[in-house]
Amino acid sequence: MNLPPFCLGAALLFWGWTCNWMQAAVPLALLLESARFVPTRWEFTTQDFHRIWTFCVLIVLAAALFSVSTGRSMLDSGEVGSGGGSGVATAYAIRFFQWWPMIFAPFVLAFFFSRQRYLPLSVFSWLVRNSADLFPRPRTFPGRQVAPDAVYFGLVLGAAAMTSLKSPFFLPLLALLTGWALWASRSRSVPRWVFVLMLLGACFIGAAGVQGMRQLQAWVSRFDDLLMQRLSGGRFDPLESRTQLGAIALHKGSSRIALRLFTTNAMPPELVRSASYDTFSSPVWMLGTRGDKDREHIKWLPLSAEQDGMTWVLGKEGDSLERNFVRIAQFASGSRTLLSLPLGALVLSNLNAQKVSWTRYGAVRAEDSDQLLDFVVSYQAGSNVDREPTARDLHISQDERPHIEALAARLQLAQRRAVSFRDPLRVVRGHFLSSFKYSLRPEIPPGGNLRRTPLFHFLEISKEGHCEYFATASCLLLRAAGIHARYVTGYSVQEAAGANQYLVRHRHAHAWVIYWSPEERRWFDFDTTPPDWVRSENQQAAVWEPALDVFSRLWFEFSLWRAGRSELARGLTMALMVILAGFLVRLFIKARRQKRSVLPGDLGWQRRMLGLDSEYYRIESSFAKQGLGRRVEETAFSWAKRIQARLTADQQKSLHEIQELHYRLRFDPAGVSEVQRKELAERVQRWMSLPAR
Amino acid sequence: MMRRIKSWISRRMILEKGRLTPTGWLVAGCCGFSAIPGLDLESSLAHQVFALTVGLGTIALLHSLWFRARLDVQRALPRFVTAGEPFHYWMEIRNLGHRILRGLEVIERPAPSPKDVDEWTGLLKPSRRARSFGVSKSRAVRARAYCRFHEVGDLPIGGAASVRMEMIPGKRGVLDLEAVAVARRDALGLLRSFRLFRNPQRVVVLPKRYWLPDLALPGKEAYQHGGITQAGSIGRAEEFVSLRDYRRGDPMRHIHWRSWARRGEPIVKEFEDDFFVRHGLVLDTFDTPEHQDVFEEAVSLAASFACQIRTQDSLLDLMFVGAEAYRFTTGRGLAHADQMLEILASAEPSGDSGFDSLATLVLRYASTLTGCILVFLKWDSPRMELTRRLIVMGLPVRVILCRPSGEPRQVDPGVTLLDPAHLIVVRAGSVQEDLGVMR
Repeated sequence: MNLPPFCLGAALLFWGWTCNWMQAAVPLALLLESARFVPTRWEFTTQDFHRIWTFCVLIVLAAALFSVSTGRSMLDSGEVGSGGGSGVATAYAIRFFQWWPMIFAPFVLAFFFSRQRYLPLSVFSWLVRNSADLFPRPRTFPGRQVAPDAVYFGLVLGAAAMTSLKSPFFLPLLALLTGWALWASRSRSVPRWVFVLMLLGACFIGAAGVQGMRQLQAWVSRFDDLLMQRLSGGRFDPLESRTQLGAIALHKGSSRIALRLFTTNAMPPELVRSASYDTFSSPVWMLGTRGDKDREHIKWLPLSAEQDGMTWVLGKEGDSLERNFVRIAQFASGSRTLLSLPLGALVLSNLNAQKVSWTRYGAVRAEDSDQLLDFVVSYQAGSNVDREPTARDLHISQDERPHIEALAARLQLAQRRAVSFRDPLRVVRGHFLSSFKYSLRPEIPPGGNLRRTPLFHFLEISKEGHCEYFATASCLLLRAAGIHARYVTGYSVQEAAGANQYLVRHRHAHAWVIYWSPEERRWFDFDTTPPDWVRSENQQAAVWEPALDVFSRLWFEFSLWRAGRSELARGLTMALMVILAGFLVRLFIKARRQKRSVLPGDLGWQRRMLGLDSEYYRIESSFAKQGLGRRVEETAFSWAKRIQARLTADQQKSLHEIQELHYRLRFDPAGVSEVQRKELAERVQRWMSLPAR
Repeated sequence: MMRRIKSWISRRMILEKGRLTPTGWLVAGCCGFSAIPGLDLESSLAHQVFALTVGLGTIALLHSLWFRARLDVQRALPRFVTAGEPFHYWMEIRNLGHRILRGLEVIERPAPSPKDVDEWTGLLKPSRRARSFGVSKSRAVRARAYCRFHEVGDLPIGGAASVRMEMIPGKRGVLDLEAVAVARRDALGLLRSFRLFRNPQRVVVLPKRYWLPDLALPGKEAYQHGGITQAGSIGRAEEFVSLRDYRRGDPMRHIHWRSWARRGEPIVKEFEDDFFVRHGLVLDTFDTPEHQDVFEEAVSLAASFACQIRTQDSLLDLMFVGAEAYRFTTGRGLAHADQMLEILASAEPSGDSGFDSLATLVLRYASTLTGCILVFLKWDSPRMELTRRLIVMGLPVRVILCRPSGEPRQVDPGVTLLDPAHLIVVRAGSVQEDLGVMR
């Protein structure tokens, strides 16, 4: 199938329009179609085409590797999609395929400016070239042929479709171009109007199919949402946190690394927060109460990026406070990722996301981000960006109020609060440190005793529990003392991994309290869980954790490299280019070497059979250098006659004998014997050494 | 139900080879490649390409299911053709229907033979051979002969068109042309519809031949016991030198009737002893099935020798073992090389064992030979022993050893009396090149 005139040019313009690359499409279309008017043609052999094809395929591989490793299109200046979330991979693929018409342009140009109308399939396929064992086939059968222009036409249309352009003209234009291409190869068995009618029928089916697919996708999408809601449990919910108070045991998570922290000094933030809550209704901490009007205005507030598009400011810095910096790396979880930040985070820089939102309760989420979130947080001690205290931050539920107030009275928290703001904090911390212990399997109240809540049992009877018990109890006690407090979930930073680097695992998930300091007008962390909880958690570590850490580290480095943020990235990309260049050079050297070795090997026996390897030709070529070479129409004897003036008598005689032997070698059906063949060589050698006239 | 569907598909030749035209392949390829990105309707418009190509395919399929033609198809085939060489013949197609037919194509459908699949299996790698899905009957049939689609001119009602067909037989033997498939493309040119017209005919495919360098096979004329009576006018068998008394055992036809009548006792003619050149061409047929290609090359070499050795004044005995031991003589007007080629066209491999029967056959007639060409598939002790015994008997011997492609050409002659130059190793696939060094 060869294409009708100008059909391919039109397809290229169509591609340029959909992909917004007219500046590339127009020259390419003009170049290709000019082949119809330019009579000059190059003599490309099948081997040449194969070499150009290999070159194009190598470019495709290089572009794919570059695109995967750096997240950018090789031929494009910008980042792919500027952050596409779950669609980032699709965006890479789309941009990658869009450029295929350009990548394969050298091959098609070579084809258009050659004499061939078809090329053997072996040019394109390694499998076909090496299929003698796979699909034995008599050698004399002609190989399969391909019309590269038609295949390129399909490729251009495919690339044109790799766009998110929403135009009603796309399908009609696509159908028009397809019909134009099919016109040449339509069947002559039916009239033309039948062809047009059938093409219209196909377009109708196509259009109906598009509508059907849209409806199907809408249905699948609804189903997918439902499914994802079911499956997405277990992560921090910024609106609610269901605690394990009263549960038999707390499963805090695996040893998988959740975050990596890099600091400029030896002091990382001890706690990184994911969300905070103000209302407790056992066993759930939440923001407001369900159905509360107030709860509706706890909305995600979009942050606006700074000029560089990667810096997001949460609040203004306090002049008097020291600024700290920590680099946090974490993997995105779906299209919306809840970030874990130290309390007092003010500026997030180098965060590549389409959108960043936050609540005034400390939850920050990145939307449509890179797969790896690697950003720097600037923070100060205490938070002044969280919502200021409300009445809910002093609320104690009816269930818990009696025993919390009783304990607060025993600890004289109210009186101490009156004396000093910090005194109740010290007492509460001391209370838990002195007589409580950490346990992942705390004793739970016996069933049937409705008066005893799990918290009461923890505070008064068992005196053992995990961080959620300590955080909840501390929060409520502080509230009983008149201090505004909120329950916080996040991670504890406790595992160093080299200089200024810290690992945070899922099992380091933690709960604690923030309280409001009216003097400094800031929220501060307050953690009353006994410090031995760290040891307790570490006992949960699996034996194979170090091995997993190595893989995790490798994956992390690879992700950094992909994101173009690794120091290794540039070097590796360069190395990749060098390897590819080396491969190309090797390919050409090999091809040339093969060419050299093939000629004598293939034709050597024929040359020998025909006597074309005769030593006599040395004499002719020595005269040819002086401009006295034998002409095409001359016999050897007539040539000798022509140049006899240049020869001595000895030379003339000897040359005649050599020529006779040479003629026997060339034309005598009986050929010459080994001895005569040797004699010819010796005579020529002697003749060459004779003194010339 | 499934059987009905299968039968319906089979009747309409939906899965026939050549069903998709090159354009059809392109559209199918576009459909396949756009299917995966087409799953995401938001990111790209690939789903529109997918939908359009599915639409084109549906229309083409519907149109291709409806094809009727009443035709009469006749061929004018040659009797002999050569494996690997294209041959041409004329096909006449007559329209017996009531509609003008345009844009038809025609292609041969050679009949499969059970042997094809076995031979095809022999050509495959052992690992592939073991797999049941590795052996495709259609591929085996396709390896037998190549034929492309030929366009048929317009066929008016009752009118006929002649098509010059071209075929390339893939291998020697009998090529059964069972049916002719007449095809019509659908309106969009994506799919072909077929109608089969049975017209069984057969062509004998002679083995492929190589150009051989002059083979100097020295050897004196040997006494041919009793002469070659069949040698008619060319030989010297008519030259009787004298008459003598009948001795018991003399053939009846040597009786000189006139002398008997004259003398009253039987007198017989005494002939001069026959001396002439008689070459033996021995074809080894014993090898494992996976070396089918090597065997084919050996047959081709034997055929090349049969054609090239001048038999006007000498005889050539072809000896090989097939279903039984064969010895076939040509030359001196006995038979022509064509007949030997015909025999070679149907030579079959005889498995891995039984070389002794060939050795016995050759040694039985060795005394009448003046030289011998041995075309071997292996170079093992039984073959070496046969070669040694022939040399010991004073016969000039040339051994052509066919080996699988890729194997080295250097072989230890093994037989001390055999001149290494007289052991020529050729490899399947590069026989002509390897023969270039033959002296």
